[in-house]
Amino acid sequence: MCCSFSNLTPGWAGSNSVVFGEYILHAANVEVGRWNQRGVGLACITSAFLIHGFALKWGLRLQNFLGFVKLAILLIIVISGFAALGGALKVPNPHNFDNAFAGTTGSSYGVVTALYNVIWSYIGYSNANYALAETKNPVKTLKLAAPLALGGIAILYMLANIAYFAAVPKDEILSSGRILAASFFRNVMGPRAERALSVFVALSAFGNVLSVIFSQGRIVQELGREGILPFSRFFASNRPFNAPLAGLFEHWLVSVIIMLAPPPGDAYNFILNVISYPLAIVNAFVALGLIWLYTHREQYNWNPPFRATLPVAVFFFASNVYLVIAPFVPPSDGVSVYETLPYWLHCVVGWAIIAGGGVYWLVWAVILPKIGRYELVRETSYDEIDGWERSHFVKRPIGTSTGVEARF
Amino acid sequence: MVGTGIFATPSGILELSGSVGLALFLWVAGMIIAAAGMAVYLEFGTGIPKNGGEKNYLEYVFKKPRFLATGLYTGYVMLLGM
Repeated sequence: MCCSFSNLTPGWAGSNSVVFGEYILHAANVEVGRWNQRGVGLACITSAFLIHGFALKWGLRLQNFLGFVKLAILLIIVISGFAALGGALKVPNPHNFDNAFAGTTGSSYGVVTALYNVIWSYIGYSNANYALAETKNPVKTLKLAAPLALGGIAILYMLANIAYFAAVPKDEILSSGRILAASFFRNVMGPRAERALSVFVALSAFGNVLSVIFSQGRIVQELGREGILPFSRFFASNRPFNAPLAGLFEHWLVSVIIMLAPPPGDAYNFILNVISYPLAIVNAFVALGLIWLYTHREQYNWNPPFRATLPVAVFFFASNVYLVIAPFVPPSDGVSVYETLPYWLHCVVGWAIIAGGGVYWLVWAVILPKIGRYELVRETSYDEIDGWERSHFVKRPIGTSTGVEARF
Repeated sequence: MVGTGIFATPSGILELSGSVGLALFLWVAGMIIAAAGMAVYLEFGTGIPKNGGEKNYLEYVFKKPRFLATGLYTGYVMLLGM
């Protein structure tokens, strides 16, 4: 595969920058405040943008190295979790597994929001699909790598959760928030290890920012190459440092805006939700698309080498429909995910983003062609060097079906 | 696939679910949904082995109105950087 393991990392540059800021400030013994957290987060994402925009080779090396750091940290948590279960703790046993269901919420808002955060942690199973043309023997690789990666991650995540519960009392888990891993290290290994390992968690968050901005920059570049964006050539360009500087910048800009706009206490959760909510909408349509293919097989001549099967597609569709509808149910017991923002804000912003895409389509594919008297046509070509299939849009003046074609 | 979620979200998940048992159960439930999603993406990925992921799948299935899937996806990418 073209991508290293760390390149399969999802997440989003903005939220990972927030995590970076909190862990690095914690390691430096600085009280996390409104502006220092934002400042460190901004420095984090800006560094990632500059490295990938100007020194691609070093960016990739660093990104791959930090991918291993992340895996190492996770393994340390899992292994010391086993030790904690065996009694190797610097604090009294928290007894979190006795009466494990005491205090269970009755609020469907709580359950659905928690489920969002869990799915967010697992997401990335589709990331390998972005670079399939660059993968050798994609069908075989994908069929083997995807289940293996998800299975391995699922086991590590469950064990990491058990490790946290084995070492950190419930009240402390709730009060530590996003720096839970730091509390875990303190309870198992003491305060010195806590600060050192916090630096490594921060570094792995930085590695995540690097890999996200790397792949998102390329997705934007690809849209430019297909001639879909305004100023497509600008976004498609690989100049001056053989990296998609414009695409990287676009992602940097959006990340910074979403990171700085909400109040700091709510920033992380808002970013997480405002990204994962539209993703649930997209996934509902992807699942619906597969169900549609199953029921209209002849029309599409759809015979792939792997079958998800209809029940699985229906289950994935239903799950995503639930994830789209359920967040509109107001929190019943005052447990809102936000401190100050209204609980429904990410749903409304999420739908507004989808609607924004609709407006873009209306202007790009309906209104502008009408004004300019042309027809939008998608052409498929094969790259002379690497042989990849590539489509791009051309404007064909109406009335000349074979005439001169103006490229975007 | 190792994002920073596993370091940053377990506390929030415990807070929202109220109990250790439900929090662990939700981690399992999320994994099952992710596995179903993986199977769906695996079928599309092996059937349409091109660069670009879900954009290709939506364009392949939803052909009408013309280019609507492309336009919606473009807005989504540019506005969210996703």
